[in-house]
Amino acid sequence: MAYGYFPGCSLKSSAKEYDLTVRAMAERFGVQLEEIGNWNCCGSTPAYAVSGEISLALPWNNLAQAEAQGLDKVLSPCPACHSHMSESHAVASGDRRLAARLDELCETSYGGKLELFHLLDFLHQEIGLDAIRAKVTHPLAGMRAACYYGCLTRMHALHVDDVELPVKMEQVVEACGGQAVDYSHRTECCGGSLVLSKIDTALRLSNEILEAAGRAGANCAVVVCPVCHGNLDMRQKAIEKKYKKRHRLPVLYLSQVVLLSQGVGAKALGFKKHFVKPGALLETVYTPIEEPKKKKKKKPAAGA
Amino acid sequence: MTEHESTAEQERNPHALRERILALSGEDVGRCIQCGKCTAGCPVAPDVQPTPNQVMQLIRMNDLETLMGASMFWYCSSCQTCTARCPMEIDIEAVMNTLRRLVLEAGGEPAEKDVATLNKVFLRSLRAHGRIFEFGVVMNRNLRTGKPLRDAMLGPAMFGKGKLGLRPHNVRQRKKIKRIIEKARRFERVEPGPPDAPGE
Repeated sequence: MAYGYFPGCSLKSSAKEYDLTVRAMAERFGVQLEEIGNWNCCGSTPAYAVSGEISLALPWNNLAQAEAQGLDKVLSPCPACHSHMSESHAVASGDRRLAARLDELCETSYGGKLELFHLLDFLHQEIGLDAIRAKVTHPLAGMRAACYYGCLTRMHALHVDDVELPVKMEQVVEACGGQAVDYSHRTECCGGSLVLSKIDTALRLSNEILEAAGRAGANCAVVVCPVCHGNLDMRQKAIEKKYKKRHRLPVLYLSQVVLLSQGVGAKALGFKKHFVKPGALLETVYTPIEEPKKKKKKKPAAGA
Repeated sequence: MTEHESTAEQERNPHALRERILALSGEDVGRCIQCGKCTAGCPVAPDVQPTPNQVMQLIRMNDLETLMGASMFWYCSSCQTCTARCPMEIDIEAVMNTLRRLVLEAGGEPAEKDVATLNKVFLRSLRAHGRIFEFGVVMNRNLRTGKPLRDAMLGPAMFGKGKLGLRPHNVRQRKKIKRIIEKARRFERVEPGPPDAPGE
């Protein structure tokens, strides 16, 4: 069965490896992802800050398009996109007058028949932990993951996991043979888009998250949000400089973790796009199978 | 309502601000019990004045003047921890967002211009392309905030990793997106809702 797929703007640029690995992961589970045609940006926080109508209308346009494409389930790996889509979707069944207004604005109509998923509930409900376990060929023994949810479970209209004590990411990591460490900052905010306006605040928050992961003895952080990844990975050097601290904590997307446990090599996982190299982690975690293209026996992944 | 009218209303009615927030967001700040949970969990609280619970109190005190210069709701990252933890079930994050819109509507200057500028630049990019052109957003932000070299070191590194497109993705229907943004109301009232609205 085909699932609708809404990558969102980040997955098309700064979080390409997330897009790449979500698609690869779906394929391995026999799930066909069909991108929503001609999709537009969900509006994110700036639209919401300026106008309620714009922030509901932009996702509405995508929802209508997905419905017109004959899809009935849509996966959006970015929690911000997913949250805005969910809020817009809720209007369809909740407020007829507003729904009519959104139809008018978007010059289209949305009937509210879609079922929306983020990666976390998609993995749990649509794939299932048993199926994840069954596909593991390279159990991630040695992985001590700090599962970082960020504000994901707080987001309005999302019921992805428990608001204060989420467990779904840890369960997936454990299904892959890894160990999830118990740590204090799982649901603390990373600062999100403040990194582009109030950078000191964002760096302080991200530093606290990395420190907490270090205290808990984690050798990597796992995330399910392109913004969290940007703040923890791309900005890690700036954080280390500012706080005179060495973190060097690789930050992985959950989709990469699942693929890793299936023996997918570093190249196909897009680790080259990471700022903090997971090389050392990969050596402790498992021996990846070389990419089929290269037959030379190189030492895998060390510098990738 | 013009700035002049809203000031006059503000003086006449001691609950004007609270009522206005209620009308705009559906949230009654009068329910706040000042427990301080919002501030305790707020990630940006250490960097702002007044803090979230103080903002709630200022609304009840009808003190629009202080709020006009407040940094709190500009810093707000919309993580919704305050909303999730409020024992009175007030959607505090929605109140913060309403305050942002209220300041702009009253013609006030945002206390944190960087945030407002980023929002503006972001929407401009969306309107032009239908999707966000990250590189363009960052460049425009630098120009408008007068810090041309901000994040300059990150650009080449991102580009090298294929994480930064130098050209925007133009969506085929971008004219329609532009129409949506232009036609949408900037600041809409919560219409008197269906009877399922919870009573006080």
